[in-house]
Amino acid sequence: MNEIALLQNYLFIGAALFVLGMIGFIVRRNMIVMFLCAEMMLQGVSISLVAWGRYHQDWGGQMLVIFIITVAACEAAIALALILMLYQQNHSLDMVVWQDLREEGQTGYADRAVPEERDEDRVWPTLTPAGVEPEQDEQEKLHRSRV
Amino acid sequence: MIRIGYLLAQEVGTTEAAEVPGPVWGWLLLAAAILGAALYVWTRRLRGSWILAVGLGLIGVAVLTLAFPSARQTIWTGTQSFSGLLRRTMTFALRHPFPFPIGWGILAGAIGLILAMPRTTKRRQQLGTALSLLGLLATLAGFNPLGGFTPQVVFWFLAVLTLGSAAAAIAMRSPVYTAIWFAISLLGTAGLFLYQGAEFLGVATVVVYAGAIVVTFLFVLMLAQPEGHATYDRISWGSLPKPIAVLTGAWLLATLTFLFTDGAEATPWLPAPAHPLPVLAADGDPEPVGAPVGVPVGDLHHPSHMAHLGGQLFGRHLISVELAGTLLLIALVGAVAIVIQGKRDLPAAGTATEPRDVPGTGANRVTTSGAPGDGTMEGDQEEAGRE
Repeated sequence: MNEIALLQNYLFIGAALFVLGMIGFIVRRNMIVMFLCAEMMLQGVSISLVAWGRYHQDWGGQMLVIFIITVAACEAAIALALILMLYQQNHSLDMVVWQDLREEGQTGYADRAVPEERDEDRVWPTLTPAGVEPEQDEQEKLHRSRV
Repeated sequence: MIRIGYLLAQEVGTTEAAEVPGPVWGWLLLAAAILGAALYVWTRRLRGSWILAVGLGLIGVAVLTLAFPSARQTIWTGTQSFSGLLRRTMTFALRHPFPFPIGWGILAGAIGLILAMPRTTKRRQQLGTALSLLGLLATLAGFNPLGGFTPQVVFWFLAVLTLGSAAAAIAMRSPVYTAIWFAISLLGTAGLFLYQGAEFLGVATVVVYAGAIVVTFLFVLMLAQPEGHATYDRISWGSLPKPIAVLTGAWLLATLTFLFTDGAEATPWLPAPAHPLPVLAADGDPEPVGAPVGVPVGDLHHPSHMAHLGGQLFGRHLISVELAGTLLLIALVGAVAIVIQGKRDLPAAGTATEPRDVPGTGANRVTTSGAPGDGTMEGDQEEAGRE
């Protein structure tokens, strides 16, 4: 019962990761985020493979995950090179600028009015201002009270 | 009511709380540290404070109960009987085995995810996050329990970490945050691999995936990211595809889940596993030199457990390893070739109409393409500098 429960839980997590990756791939428009969601789908499949390998006492599950990691690294390298080149063509990571590659007979996508970004959503990292000299005591500079 | 009570009594006492390693005061110290962190986050009103504070508080309480066996036992049996009671009540109430809490959990998670997608208000995003977390916990509670309190708690923590950060990754409006949340999800995945006994995969995930691939993503984002939150990150194909995609995904997840939980009973239809000791020489493959024979995958305490993985990798799958190495080489050469070809095809300023692959002969081509190799690089360097 313990092994079966382990398998069930792991299969659910693998399926949930796969589905989350699929949702992200469909919904998002940034090319790099879409590729990250494809990698998430690969992770979901990896978890399912490890679970099945444990259940059937077969090392083949972990073998295939090793090769999945290798192939994911290869495809990440090539895909990021492609994305960089696509970016330098149009200076945008948006998928919409390449929508002329769609099939014939399908209407294109046009952005409707985009709301302005609210001030409360803009978050920038804050740094302490550099180059601001602290106030110094003149007496302290002339006659040091401590080293 | 009598029937519910009878079924309750059957469920209670089926699992015992496992032994917790270490002294009691160590667990108390850890629980105090986690609760202190929760209190700090709550009082300081840090970013995303209340969800983090509540989460840390729950973790602290769980760690606190780990220290006391009686509290462990009580909470364990309490959660088991409560979920069993809920399941039986829903079954009796609806006269139809609707899978509670798995079905309701998936639905709650889907609705939460719709609320948390880009182009929403911050309040709605927080509500959606909380709802999807609750849905996830309810779904996990609906499965069969793993053996004991500590394995279950550790598994729930890893599951929530993985799936929560994956959901956060697809809901973020900045791609850098997406990459970081994905790296956290990879850490959760590595933990899950370690939980299953795949130690090499856990370490390989952290080192290769989170340490190299995500870092490469961040480098490319550094080169190609627009300033601030871009519009296409904020609106994302309009407002209709988001609910449709999330509900389709939830439907797919529910189908996959109910396929192996068989409705409300959560009993498996799975076939019995193969015999636990796969013999290497049974199918005629040559036995790899130096590899231990017959170490099962689940035997984690065997000293040569991971050595058997290496033996299988370089014994049985040797050709695949060589092919993977060749594939890596091809990918490396291909990536470099793509970048070089892409730079050569870029239209340079002032010579956009002229072909690029003609060797430089004209006097007006001195600045950009004097020689096919050096000139293009210089011209593109200038362009890159001006950008």
